[in-house]
Amino acid sequence: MDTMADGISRASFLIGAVGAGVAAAVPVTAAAAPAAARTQTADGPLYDLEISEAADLIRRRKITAVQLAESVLERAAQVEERVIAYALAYSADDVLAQARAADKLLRRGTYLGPLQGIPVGLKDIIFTKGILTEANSKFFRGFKPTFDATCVARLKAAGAVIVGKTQTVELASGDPAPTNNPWNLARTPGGSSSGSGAGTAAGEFLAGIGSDTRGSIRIPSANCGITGYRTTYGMVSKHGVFPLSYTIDDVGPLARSALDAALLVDVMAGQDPEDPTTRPVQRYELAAALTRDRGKRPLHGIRVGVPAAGDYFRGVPNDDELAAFDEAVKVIASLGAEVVKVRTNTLPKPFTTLNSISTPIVNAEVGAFQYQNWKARAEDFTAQYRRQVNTGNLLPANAYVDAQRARALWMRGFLAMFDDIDVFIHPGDEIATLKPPATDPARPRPSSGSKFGAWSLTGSPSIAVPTGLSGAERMPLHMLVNALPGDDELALRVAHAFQGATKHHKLRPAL
Amino acid sequence: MPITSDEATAIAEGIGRARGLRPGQLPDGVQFAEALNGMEECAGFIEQVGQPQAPFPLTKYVPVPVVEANGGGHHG
Repeated sequence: MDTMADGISRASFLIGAVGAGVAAAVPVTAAAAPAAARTQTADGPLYDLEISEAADLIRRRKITAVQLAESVLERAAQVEERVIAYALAYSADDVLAQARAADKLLRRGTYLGPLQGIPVGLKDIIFTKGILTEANSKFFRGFKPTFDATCVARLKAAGAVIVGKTQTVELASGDPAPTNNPWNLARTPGGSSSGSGAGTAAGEFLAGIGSDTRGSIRIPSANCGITGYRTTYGMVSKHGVFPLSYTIDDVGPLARSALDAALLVDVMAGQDPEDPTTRPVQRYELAAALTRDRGKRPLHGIRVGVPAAGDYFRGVPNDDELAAFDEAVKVIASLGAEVVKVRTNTLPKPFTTLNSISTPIVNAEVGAFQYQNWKARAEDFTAQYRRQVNTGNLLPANAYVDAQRARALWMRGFLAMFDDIDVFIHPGDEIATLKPPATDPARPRPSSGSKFGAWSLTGSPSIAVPTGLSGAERMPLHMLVNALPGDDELALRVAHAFQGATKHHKLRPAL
Repeated sequence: MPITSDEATAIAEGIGRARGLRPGQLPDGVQFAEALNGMEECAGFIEQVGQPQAPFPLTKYVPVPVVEANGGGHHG
């Protein structure tokens, strides 16, 4: 059922829930379109809630986890055929049983935290004990892991309701997923965490878990108008997640707000003896830092860098992205941040592209991971995926070692920008493209290159934050909020304060 | 001069023959050229920065005397 509990107005709840209650500085329409047939006049459907909102209602027993589960199940029944977010939707019986268990604990006085009873989808490269995990790969068809990935075990322990496995690009880097973008079904959600992004935007679950090597959390988040959080490298365990490039891969959330993303990472992150690349931190408390009352100027004392004219990070092909970003900068300044123009050192000579560093690393690492499979059954991978494995297995060893050395040296120069600033924000240049064979009209100018890859190489926190809709396509626009590795709280504070002052992240697609 | 995709294809085929690889195990020229050219750019960048500042300096080899139970002393 899609009803709010008696007497709770969604609007009034939101006013109380958002810590930084700053007046919106950027006028936006309240909603792109009516969200669904079952929407009430005053209150939105439960499936549209942010985790922070739903968690508060569940904790106060105003709604039950079962009601929330029923809402997302009904929503999926309405839209899944068109969106194709799921690789494997768990049965309604299974989902409702998990929700009932969450309710039962609460009735008996056990509150596990804000994820108790929250429906979450998992990218299908994340291991689930005894449940198919096929990664959209012919090679792994029928594969049932014998254990849960660490992130899954932690989500379950926190009371999350796992609703299914979501569509992915083959093994996070091969052939695309069949998923459609809920904002325009003729367009791609991007990848590789395609189903986690599209399903969250479409209301099939309240958040998805994905992985990000060269942008695979942030790209579908950007394309689908949600918030994608790539954490500092090593915060969330990769144990039980099919690797692509283990020195770059990151596991994280695709959610409806920075606060929701922080709530998920608080549960999933922390050192894991099964993953030697995890940071030596037992647990994180990022959400608490966001909800602390900081008054009307919550960013006071934070220096936020923005790319100067002509910088690599302003090399964006789409005018709408730039205009939306410039408006976002005004909002961030109005929240107390000191805004500083920065000239980054992104492509020092002789680099012509950052792929020169990332391609040898990613290809060599995926080549090593798949070496035995590749020797035996290379043809069971698609040509697109195999190209990377093939390249990795033919490169000389010094290509990999030199790429890692160059990466470390390049990082020193690139991250030196943070000597003078705390957080660096910039426009994205991803607007979801039409699915082939259709093509979009040519943009006014070419992109300077990926805006995601640099932050992957540095292992920085990098958050895709919605900034509005494009004029022509009416598709989501976004910016990226980034910081030094370890400064996740600062990056999240900027994203959260921005979302407290605007409503871009509350826009929902009409389906 | 950057390596072209045709040149990269020829290099890949040569390696493939030497290692007995199947056609499906060979990279396409475009991808392999990108990787090989990336390798050159990385090497050029490291050279420009200079080895003394490199994060992974060459391991300094220090010979140490080893005495095995049934043998004379030698340097290992």
